Amino acid sequence: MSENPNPLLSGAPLHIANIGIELIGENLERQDVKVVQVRWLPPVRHDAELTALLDTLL
Amino acid sequence: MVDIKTRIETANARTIEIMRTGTAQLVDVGPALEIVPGMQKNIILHSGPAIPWREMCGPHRNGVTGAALWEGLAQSPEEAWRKLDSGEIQVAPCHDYLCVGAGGGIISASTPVMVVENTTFGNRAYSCISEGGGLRLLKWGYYDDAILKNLSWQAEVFAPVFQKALRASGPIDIKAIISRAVEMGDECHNRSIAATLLFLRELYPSLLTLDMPGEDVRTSLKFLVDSEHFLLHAIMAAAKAVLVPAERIPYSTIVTAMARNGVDFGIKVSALGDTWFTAPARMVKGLYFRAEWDDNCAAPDLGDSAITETVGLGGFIQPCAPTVTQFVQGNIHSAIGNTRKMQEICASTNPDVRIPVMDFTPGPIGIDIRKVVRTGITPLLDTAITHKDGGLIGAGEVHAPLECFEKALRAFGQQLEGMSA
Repeated sequence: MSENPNPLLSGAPLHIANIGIELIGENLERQDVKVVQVRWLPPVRHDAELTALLDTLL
Repeated sequence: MVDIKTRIETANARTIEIMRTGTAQLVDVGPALEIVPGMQKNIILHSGPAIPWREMCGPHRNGVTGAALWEGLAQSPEEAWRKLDSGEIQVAPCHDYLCVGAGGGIISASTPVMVVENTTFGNRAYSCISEGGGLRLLKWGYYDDAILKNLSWQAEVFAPVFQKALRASGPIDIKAIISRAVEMGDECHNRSIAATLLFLRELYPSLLTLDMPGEDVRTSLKFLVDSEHFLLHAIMAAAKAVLVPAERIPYSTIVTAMARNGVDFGIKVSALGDTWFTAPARMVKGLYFRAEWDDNCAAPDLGDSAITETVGLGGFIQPCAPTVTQFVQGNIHSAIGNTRKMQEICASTNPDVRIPVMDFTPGPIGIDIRKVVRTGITPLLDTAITHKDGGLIGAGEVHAPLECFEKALRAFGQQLEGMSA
């Protein structure tokens, strides 16, 4: 069998860092794949008033 | 001169300290008209921010109508609606009367209410009594003859028995019960069975030695044993009692109330006093109890029970109650993830509420509107799902809408401008 360049299909042990949506990492864990979860959310976009308020108050 | 960030941090720390040091003793029960300051015979209280009668959701309209009939304020639904239209019967938010109510939160003059006292600050808060189990209750916006008959039994038989037992037992410490219950599988919102059992343990000795008609005591005892969520209402009143002294602290950006009326979701913020900041209520994601029910027949998010999340219970400590995660096909891992998100939007932690599966880490407390707006993470509530025409149909979870917090932050900024002008 030729070596598959896609690591998800090659059969070699996977090392996954899952960034953001946890559901994806959880599904891999259920398949006995080792996953490191990185908590991340896309930055919230605020209008100029809220951005200025947050800069001043927090 | 102290900069604004320091002023806010100092005010928030003070707010949290007030919430932490407040006590919550269940001290009495009695008819709302006699117990709740300002209550009147023609007033019917409801959950959530204020809303005109005509704009109420189905469960509220049904609950208010049922209460009007039960109180004898009207002899028919049509007569009740006419009197509600004319203002002869009035509606008002529970929160305006220091009350909180689960679901529709329907409290009328004869409704027995529990009294919870914060002895540290000398204030009281109130909540109606659980109507027991079942999918069709007044609090879920449903009424029929059997439900109204049960309300009368609660007012005429159960409440006097409960009152006498409570007065014999002395004050029952609800905060102490919460601290133990969260280590016994409760998150004290969607699950309060451990708290209820701990409470009954306190009440049984005096209940069993009451000098009252045996049949009244026996039926009251059976009602308590059958009502596994009985203590939730006292927990809600406890949360309100703890939060009231934390209101109106200048510069504090901590949330002091969250509530929903099935149309709008509202929050109050300490420095901003009594103003509700609202946004459309969201639909609850969860498990429907029967196959015939789905998202199409559900009402939007409803009830004052989010007062539990306001003090860091419920959805904020989901890992305490693994069974609750099953409503949303969740698990311990996802529940811990949810608590970590709530930690990001809270100002501090509560040593009285510890999460066993997180190595007894203290739960988050003190929702800071600045952090909510900055992160976009909004409070997660565990909650029930109500049918749009009344009745309990499921349970699950829902996130508060971000818009409330944005509106509150803008108002906070305007308040600061006004103070410096």
